[in-house]
Amino acid sequence: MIYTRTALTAIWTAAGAAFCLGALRSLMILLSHASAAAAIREVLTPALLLAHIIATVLAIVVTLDLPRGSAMRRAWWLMSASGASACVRYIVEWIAEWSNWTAATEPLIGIRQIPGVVALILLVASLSLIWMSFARMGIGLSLRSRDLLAILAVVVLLPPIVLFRENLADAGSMYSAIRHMQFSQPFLLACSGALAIVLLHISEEVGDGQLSRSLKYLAWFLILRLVLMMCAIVPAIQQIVPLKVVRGGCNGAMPWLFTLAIAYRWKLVADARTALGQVWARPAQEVALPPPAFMRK
Amino acid sequence: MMHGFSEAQWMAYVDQELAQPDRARIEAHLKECPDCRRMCGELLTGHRLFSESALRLEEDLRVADEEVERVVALGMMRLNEAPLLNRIDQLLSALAPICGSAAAERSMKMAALEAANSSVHGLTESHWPDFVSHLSANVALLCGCAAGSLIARTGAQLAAGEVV
Repeated sequence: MIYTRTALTAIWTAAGAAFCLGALRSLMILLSHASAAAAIREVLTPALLLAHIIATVLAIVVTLDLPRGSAMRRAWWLMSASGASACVRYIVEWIAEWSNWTAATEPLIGIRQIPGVVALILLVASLSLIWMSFARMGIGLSLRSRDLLAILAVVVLLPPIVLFRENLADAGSMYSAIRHMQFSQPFLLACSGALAIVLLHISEEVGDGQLSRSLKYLAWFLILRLVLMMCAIVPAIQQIVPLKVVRGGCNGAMPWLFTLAIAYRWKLVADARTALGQVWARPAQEVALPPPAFMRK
Repeated sequence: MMHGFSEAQWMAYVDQELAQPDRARIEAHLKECPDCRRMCGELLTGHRLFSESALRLEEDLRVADEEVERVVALGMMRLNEAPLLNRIDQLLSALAPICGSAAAERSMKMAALEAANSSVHGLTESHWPDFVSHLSANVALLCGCAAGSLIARTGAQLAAGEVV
C-alpha cells in the first residue's frame, strides 16, 4: 500500500507544480515576458500529456479488474479510450508547439479538435454508463432539489459560452468540420457537467470511502473544465486580471485532477489486491462457498 | 407413642396407607377417645391443606418449566444468531473503507434479499454461502473483482469461525 500512497503523493505534487507553472505563465504573459511564458509552456504541454498517459494506463488497470460484460467495465473502457484520445490531442498540441503553429498560421492545427471532441463524447458515454451501473443498485436515483439546482446552474453556464463561441481557439478554422466540432464542445462539456453533479450526489450517497473520493475528484474535474471554458471565452470575465492568473493555474492543474480521480480509483483496486493477498497468505481453514457469479464467467 | 399407637401409624392412617387390622383398631379407638379424634381431625385438615398446596405448587412449577424452556430456546437462538451478526459486522467493516459505508450496507441489503428474500437480520446459517456469493458479486460490480474476491474469501473464512 506504500507504493499507492507514493504514487498519489507524486500526482498531487505534479498537480501543485502544474498549477504554479500555469499561474506563472499567465503572470509572464501579463507582464509581457513572452519568452518566459513560451518556456513555461514547453514544460506544461508535455506535463499535460503525461497526466493523460498516467490516467489512461491507470484507467486500463481499473477496467481489467471489473467483471466482464458489466456496464461498469464498458464505462471504464470508454474512460480509458477517452484518456487515450486526450493523449492524441496533447500530442498534436505538442507537435504544433514545436513547429510554432498557431491557428492563424497553420489551419492544420485544427485537427486537435478531432481527438478533443472524441474524448469528450467517450467521457460523456462513460459517465452515463457509470451512473447506470450505480442506478442498478438503487444509488444515484433520488436527486435532491439542490442537485437539480446545480444542474440548472450548469445549464445556465451554457448560453454565455454559446454566445461567445467565436472566441474559441479553432472557431475561425477554414475547415467547417473543425468549426462544428469546436462549437459542439460547450454542449458536450455541459452534458459532462450535469453528469458531474449526479456523480457528486452518488459520491455522497455511497458514504466515505475510496470510491467516493474518486467520484468526487472526477466530478470536480468536469465542473472545473466547464467553468474554465466559460472564463476563457466570455470577455467580461477575461478582463479580470487576478482571475487570469488563477485561470492559468487551474488550466495547468485541471488534467491532473482527472489523473487524481483515476488514481484514487486505481488505489482502491491496488489496496483490495493487497488485502486479498494478505487474506490468501493467512494459513487458515475456510468453508467452501460457491464462487461468485463474476468468477464463474 | 400416643394411646398405644406410634407416630408413624398415625401418619400412615392419615395418609390412608395403614394396613386393615391397624386401621380398624385406630377407628375403634377414635370412637372412644375425643382427644385422639381432635388430634386426628387436625392432622387430616393439615394433610388436606398440604396436598392442595403441593398440587398448586406442582402446577406452578410446571408453568415455570415451560417458561424456562421458552427462555432457554430463545437464548439458544440468540447464541446461534450472534456469530452470524458478528460476521456481517466484520464484512461491513472490511467493505466500508472500499465502497463507502452506505454503499456497503446497500450491497448487503441487496445480497440478503437475493440470497434469502429477507433483510440482513433475517439471514440464517444456511443462507450464508449464497449471501456471500451475491455480496461479492455486487461489490465486484461497484469496486472491481479484487474487492469482490476479498469479500468472498473473507466470508468463507468467517464461516469457518476465524476472526478476520
